Amino acid sequence: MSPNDVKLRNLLVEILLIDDNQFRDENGPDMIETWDSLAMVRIAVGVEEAFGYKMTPEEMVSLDSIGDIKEILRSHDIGFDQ
Amino acid sequence: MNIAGNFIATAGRVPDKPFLVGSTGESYSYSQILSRARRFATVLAARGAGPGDRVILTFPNSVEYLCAYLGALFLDCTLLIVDHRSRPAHIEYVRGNCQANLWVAPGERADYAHIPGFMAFPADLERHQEMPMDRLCTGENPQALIMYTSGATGVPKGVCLSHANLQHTIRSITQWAQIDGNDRELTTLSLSHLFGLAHTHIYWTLGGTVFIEEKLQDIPGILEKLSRERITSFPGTPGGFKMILDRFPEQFARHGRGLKYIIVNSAPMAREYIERMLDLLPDTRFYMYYGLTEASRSSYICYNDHRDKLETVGRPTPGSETCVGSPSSPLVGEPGEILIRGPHLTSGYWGMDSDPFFVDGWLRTGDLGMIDSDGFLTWKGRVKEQINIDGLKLTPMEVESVLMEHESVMDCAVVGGPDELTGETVVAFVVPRGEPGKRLEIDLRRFCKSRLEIYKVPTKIVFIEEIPRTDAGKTKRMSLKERLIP
Repeated sequence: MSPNDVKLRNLLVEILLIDDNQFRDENGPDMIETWDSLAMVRIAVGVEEAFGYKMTPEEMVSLDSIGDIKEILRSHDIGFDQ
Repeated sequence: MNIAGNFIATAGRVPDKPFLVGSTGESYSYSQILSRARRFATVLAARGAGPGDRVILTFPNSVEYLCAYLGALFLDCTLLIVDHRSRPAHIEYVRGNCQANLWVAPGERADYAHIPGFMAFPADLERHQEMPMDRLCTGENPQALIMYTSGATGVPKGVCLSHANLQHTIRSITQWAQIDGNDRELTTLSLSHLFGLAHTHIYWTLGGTVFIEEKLQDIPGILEKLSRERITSFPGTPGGFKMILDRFPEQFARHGRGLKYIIVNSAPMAREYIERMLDLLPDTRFYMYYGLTEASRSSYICYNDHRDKLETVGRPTPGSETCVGSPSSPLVGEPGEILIRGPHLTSGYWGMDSDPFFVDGWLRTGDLGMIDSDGFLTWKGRVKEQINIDGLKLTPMEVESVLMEHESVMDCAVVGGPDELTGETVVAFVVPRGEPGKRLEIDLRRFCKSRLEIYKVPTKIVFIEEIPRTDAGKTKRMSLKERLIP
């Protein structure tokens, strides 16, 4: 697992209290009961602190999965495992 | 009069008018909901439910939920509305405490299977007969709701609310907020709590239309719906509006300009955000009210009319009385406990001696407040130990008792810490057995998550060597809270 994957996993474990095996691209609000609108804001704030990228409101509300977070960060040259 | 009787009267007056619109746009008229609720009443009666029986409902915001709610009220049952995200242990407690006969949820749930009296909302509702009209709302049970709130000792208390209490609240809000039958409300509030529920009572009494969303999730979509559906009322919590004002101010200004009024409740709102709301939507009446489940909507203010009183929660609502200190010598300009009296006041708590909570007919709220010389009340905090997460309340003991079950916890104390989004957040101070660290912090939070509702799970664990206590053994929570001030 790349350092950025580890960083994002730790962030989501911290905010969403997911288990390590729930850190999968396809998981999102439908699968993770702690992922509500407040958690979404906390994720956006956490991503900014951890990766230095501030999500736009449109990006924030478009997050439907962990994979979406990675995609947004990838589009700003922050790499993750494929 | 049974509040469901208001619905029947409205359905007779405007049968074809839309009452409910679901999140995906499906619309139901008053007569359609009446028909469904009557069918549900038939199903419930076949299970033996009748006047005075306690029936638990655990639903997310949905059309099914309101059909079940009305159907059970039609039979003069007393309803216990429990948040559908509650853990089975809480539901078991509620069921045992009020000796509920039945418990209805949207569908089968394996984790609830061991709790007796369970029934899933029928998928084949249309196959059941409508309960005859002359058997609805016979007036044999004055008690409408028992709402469970966090008790000061950590044990939830069932607040008894009569139809008369709720009818008074309907009249009161209608009067001061100037709501009428043309209003269209979009609610993202949980209808498991009295804030959202009481609005629904008003709307079905006046013949308005309620658009329900399960929660405040797709904010741009919800804001867009405000203008598309010509919404006139958009109630919410301070935390929800803070999120909207911080992240989506342009969309809110664009889509919210048709709003006739906004009502905020449940927790204090920072002056800065009140001013931003007033500036963003100058033609929208912006109300704040103060109350508890035991005394819903006790004071209110329209900030547009009182821009010099933005720190207050206003003056008493019609029919209610508020004082600070003691009824015989009320304090003005000095802080003290807020006391409330009026026709909206609960008669007490289910199955327990309620006398300690009242003094000469006034409810001791446990809230600290101050009334100025103009009669405006300012909320100053809690006398009792309670944490308020954007309107959702809990006591430290609820979380402490769970943490103490964990083998790595030697001692603990829970307090409300500051939080930008929700006003307060749950912070646990823990004296660990063994090595503290990030891993243990996550373990403890996951442990709480498996036993408590999500909002009660600590967002932060602070490891310390000893919990500060008085000589009498009482936790010095203020001293712990001070450590959290940045």
